[in-house]
Amino acid sequence: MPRMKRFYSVLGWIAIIYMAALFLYPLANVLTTSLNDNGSFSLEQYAKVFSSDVYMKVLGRTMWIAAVSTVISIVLGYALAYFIATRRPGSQGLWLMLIISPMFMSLTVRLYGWMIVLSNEGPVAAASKLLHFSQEVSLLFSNFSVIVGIVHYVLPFVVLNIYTSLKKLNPAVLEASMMLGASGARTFWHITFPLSLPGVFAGGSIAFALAANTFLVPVMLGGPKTNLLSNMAYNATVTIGNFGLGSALSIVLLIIVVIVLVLFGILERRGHHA
Amino acid sequence: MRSGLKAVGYVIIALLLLFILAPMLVILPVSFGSSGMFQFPPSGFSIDRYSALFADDRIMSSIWLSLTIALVSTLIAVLVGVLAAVGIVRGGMPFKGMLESFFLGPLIVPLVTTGIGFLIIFVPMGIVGSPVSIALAHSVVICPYVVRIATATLRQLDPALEEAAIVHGAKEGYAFRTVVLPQLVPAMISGGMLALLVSIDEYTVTSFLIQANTITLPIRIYQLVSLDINPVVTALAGLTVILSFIVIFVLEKKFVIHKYLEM
Repeated sequence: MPRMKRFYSVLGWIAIIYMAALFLYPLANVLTTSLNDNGSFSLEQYAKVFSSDVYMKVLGRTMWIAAVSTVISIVLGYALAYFIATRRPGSQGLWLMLIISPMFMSLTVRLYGWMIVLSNEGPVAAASKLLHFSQEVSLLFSNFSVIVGIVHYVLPFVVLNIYTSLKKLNPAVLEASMMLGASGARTFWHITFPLSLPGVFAGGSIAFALAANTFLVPVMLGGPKTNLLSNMAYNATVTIGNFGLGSALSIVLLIIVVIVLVLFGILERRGHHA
Repeated sequence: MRSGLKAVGYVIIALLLLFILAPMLVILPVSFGSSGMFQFPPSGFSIDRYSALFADDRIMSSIWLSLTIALVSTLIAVLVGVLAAVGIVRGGMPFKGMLESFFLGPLIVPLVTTGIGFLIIFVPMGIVGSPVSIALAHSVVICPYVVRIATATLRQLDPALEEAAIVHGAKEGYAFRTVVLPQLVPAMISGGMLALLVSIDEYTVTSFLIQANTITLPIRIYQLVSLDINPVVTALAGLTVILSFIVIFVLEKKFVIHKYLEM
C-alpha cells in the first residue's frame, strides 16, 4: 500500500520536525556553547574541566556512586524479579505493580520520605538507640543516603527489565533440566541465570544512566560534599552563569553515559547469542 | 533444609518490600501527626496540616500550575508520539532504527543537558520562566513514554485492516482516523497517563526554567522540605502518596498497565 505508506511518512515527518526543533536544536546549542570562546572555536572549557581537581573529583564520585548503585540495584532487582516470576501467573501482575509502585510516585515526595527514615529523629536512629549504639547516628547528607535514594529511584526499572526476560524463559527448558536430574540450584545457575542475562544488562544500563544523570537525589539527600556532575553543571550554568562551562560539564556526562550504554548494549547482544 | 532456605528467601523479600515502601509508610503517619516533620514515629494525631494545606495559596497555585503544564504538555506529547510511532512502524522513512532511538533520546540524554539546551534557546526568545516554556520543555521530556507504548501497540496491529479500507475507496486520512486511531486509544491513554505523571513530577529540566512566579509542584515541595522546613508539606506529601496509589490501582484495573511497561 504505497499510498498509506506515504501518508504515514508525512505524519512521521511532522513529529521529526517537532523533535528536531525542540530536542536536537537545543542539544546542538549546548554543544556549540561548550566549544565557543568569544565567538571562536575553542576547547578551553573542556581543558578547564579535565585539568581541575574539583571537577575530576566530582566526575570520579559520579561514576563511583553510579556504579555502586547499579550493582546494588541489579542484585536486589534480580531477587525481586525472580520472586515475581515464580508466583502463580494470575497474581504476578499484582506483585509487579506493588513492587514497581514507587515509579508512579513523585520522586521529590519519596526523597522527603527517605529524609524522615534516615534523619536522626527517624526510625533507623530510634532502632539503633534501642540497640544501644551510643553515638548519634547521622545517615543523611552522605554518600550512603545518596546511594539509598538512587537505588530506590532506579530499582523499579531494573525489576521490570529482569522480570520481562525471566518471563520469556521457556518453561520446557527448565523442566527438561530438572527431569534430567539437575538440582534446583544447578538449573538456576546453568539455565535460568544465563538466559536472563540480557534483562540484567538492559536493566543495568538503564540503572547506570539514571544514576549517573541524577540531579534531584543529591540535592535532597546529599550534602555540599556529595554533589554529582549534574549538580555541578547546574551550578555552573544557573548559579555562576557560566553557560560554556555548564554546557561542557553536561556534555562530558552525556558522552560517558552514551559510552556505558553502548558497552552494556554489546553485552546484552552477546547474552542473546549465548 | 529446603524449607529453611525458602523461609530465608521470604524474609529477604519481606525486607526488600519494606525498603521499597518505607518512604511512603513514614510519610502518612507523619502527615497526620503533630510533631516535627522529620520525626518518626510521630506523636499526636491531627488533621491540622491538611486543613492548612488547602488554605496555602502558594501551594495551591503550584498545584494548578503543574496540572495545567502537565495537561498541555501531555496533549502535545501524545500527538507527536503517535505521529512518530506511525511514521516509524508503518511509514517509508529511511534509517528507522536510528529514528526510533532519536525519539527515545530524551530518556538517555542527561536532563541537565536538556535543561541547559532549553535555557540557551529560550533566553533570546524571552520566554524563560513562562508556563509556555515549561510546557514545551516537558512535552519533549515525556514524549518517549508515548512513543514506546504506541510503537509497541502499533506493531501488534494488522495493517490489512486499513488496506481494506483503502481498497474500498477510503481516503488516507479517513482510513487512519476511523480504522487505526481507535485501535491506538488504549495506548494513547496509558502512554498519556504515564507522561502526565512524569510531567507533574519533572524537577531537573524545570529547575532551569522557573521564575519566582512559576514554581511548579515538585520544586515547591523541595523548597518547603529543604529550605522553609514547613510542616504543611507533610500533608502535601501524604496526599500525593494516597492519590498515587489510587491512580496506580485504577490504571492497573482499567488498562492492565503493567503489560505496557514490560520491556
